[in-house]
Amino acid sequence: MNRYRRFFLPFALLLPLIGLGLIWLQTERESHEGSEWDVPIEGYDPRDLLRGHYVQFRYDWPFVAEDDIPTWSGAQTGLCISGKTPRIAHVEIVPRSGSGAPSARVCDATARVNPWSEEGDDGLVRDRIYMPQETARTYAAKLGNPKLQAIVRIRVNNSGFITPLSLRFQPRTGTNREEAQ
Amino acid sequence: MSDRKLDIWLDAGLIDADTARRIQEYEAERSRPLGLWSLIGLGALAIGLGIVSLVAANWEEIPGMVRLVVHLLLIAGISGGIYLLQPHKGFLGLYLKDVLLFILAVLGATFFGHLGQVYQTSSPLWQPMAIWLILFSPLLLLVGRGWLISLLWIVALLGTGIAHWGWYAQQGGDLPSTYVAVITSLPVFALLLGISLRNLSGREAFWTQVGQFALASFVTGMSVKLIADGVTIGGLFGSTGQAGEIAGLQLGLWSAAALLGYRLNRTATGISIAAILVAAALTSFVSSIAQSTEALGNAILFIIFWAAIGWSAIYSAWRNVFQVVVAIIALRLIFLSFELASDLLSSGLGLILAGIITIAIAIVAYRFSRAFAPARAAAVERDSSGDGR
Repeated sequence: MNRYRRFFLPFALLLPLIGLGLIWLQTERESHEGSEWDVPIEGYDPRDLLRGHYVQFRYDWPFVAEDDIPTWSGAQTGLCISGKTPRIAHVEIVPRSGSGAPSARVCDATARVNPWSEEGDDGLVRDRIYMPQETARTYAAKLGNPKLQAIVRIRVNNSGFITPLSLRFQPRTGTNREEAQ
Repeated sequence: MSDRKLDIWLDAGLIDADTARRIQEYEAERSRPLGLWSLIGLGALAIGLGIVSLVAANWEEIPGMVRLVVHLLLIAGISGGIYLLQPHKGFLGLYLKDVLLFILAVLGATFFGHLGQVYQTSSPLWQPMAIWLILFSPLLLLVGRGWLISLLWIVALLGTGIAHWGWYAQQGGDLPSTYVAVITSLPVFALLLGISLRNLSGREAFWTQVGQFALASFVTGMSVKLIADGVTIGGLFGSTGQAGEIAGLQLGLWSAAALLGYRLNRTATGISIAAILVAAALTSFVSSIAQSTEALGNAILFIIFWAAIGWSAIYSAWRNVFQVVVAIIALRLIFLSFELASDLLSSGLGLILAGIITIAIAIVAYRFSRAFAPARAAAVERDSSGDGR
């Protein structure tokens, strides 16, 4: 048994190293897949802008009413995003692929609820973006400025889960909806 | 060692002066510089905490890639340490290696969280847990020696099962009965693994512990199930229609496990374990079929299950287990008296009555335990013949 163990020990020690390395590689590759879109945000509470190192906000998806956005991981619908990345041309609630009902529209990306995100089932409605502490004050001032429209760049990965990547601002010219078109 | 006890024993005439001197000499020979070691340990702890706080304070400044590389290098370094320690016996080979294994396993588990933080990804908890289990089980089970590793592995195995169960239930719809029966039998499978490898492996104590932790978690889970059955109709599994089917499948699985376990370990211990498995399967089955929230019936099933464990403890001379069994049955009886006489509690007379019953049960249980608990000496004897648990 001892000789047996001595033979298998190197393999048992290498297995976690190789396995973790491969998972890292896969995560790295997946992080470049999917598509990126610009989504206007709103609803940040000026009294509660920065909690720790992140901003919490609400997505202001163009063309859809907030009540229609799925907020349950079991929901059989998703957000169909079409356009030329990163500009959103149209957003529509569609049945999720695999739920049986055929989708009428060809989507460039379909976002769906990721129950494992930090926002839980509300991930399509609100989200948070992390930022360095030094820049927090600048961001807080800009977020409170009514003349500026905050826009979050998100990535929709191959599973349809969204990740906020960056936050930028542009002068508010009209309503958000017009802007997104 | 303090001489105070020796003096007391000497005065009481339990030992003579010569014995006392020899004990003192023996203890002096075996004594370790505890003060020195604790100072060294304190220093090491301070250095470790310092490193942790340095890293934590500058966490944001360190690029994600660098952190991940360092994390993986740490894992590689500790793996190397374990490889070098493998031929050693004694303190280095037995204790330090287990501690390193534990640190390695924890570092491996946190790597998933670290990846998620750097890449802002998230996944159902059971996925990283299951991958961790696949990657680390061969190493832990091949090298582990003490309770630290056996407990870690059992906790990880059952934790993964529970995480998956919760995730599956969240997907909506009824779970397949076979799935629930299998996932609730995970402790039984771990128990069988412990029994079967105990005799094959050179590390008998480790596999015995794996079996013990598995059996303990199984008995705990069964007790929770039997209690839950009495609280709501349908019990732990929610839907009433399925509970009987699940318990039927468990009856088959656990009876087969009992038979297999006994064939692998034809000793008093083997019979005791088989008896616990069969008693669990039968009481769980009756409880699930009956679907009753009636207090007396549920208490009787619970007590039958624990009485079977008590019988097993007597049969295999597990003294401590027997005492635990008596305590738990006594507690269940006291709780039952409160359940049955809940309306009495509102009156002073009722409270007095409940108090008297509680004291009576406690005294009876204490006397019962003293009278029937397997003798300590017998347990030692059986242990030495390789028959003990």
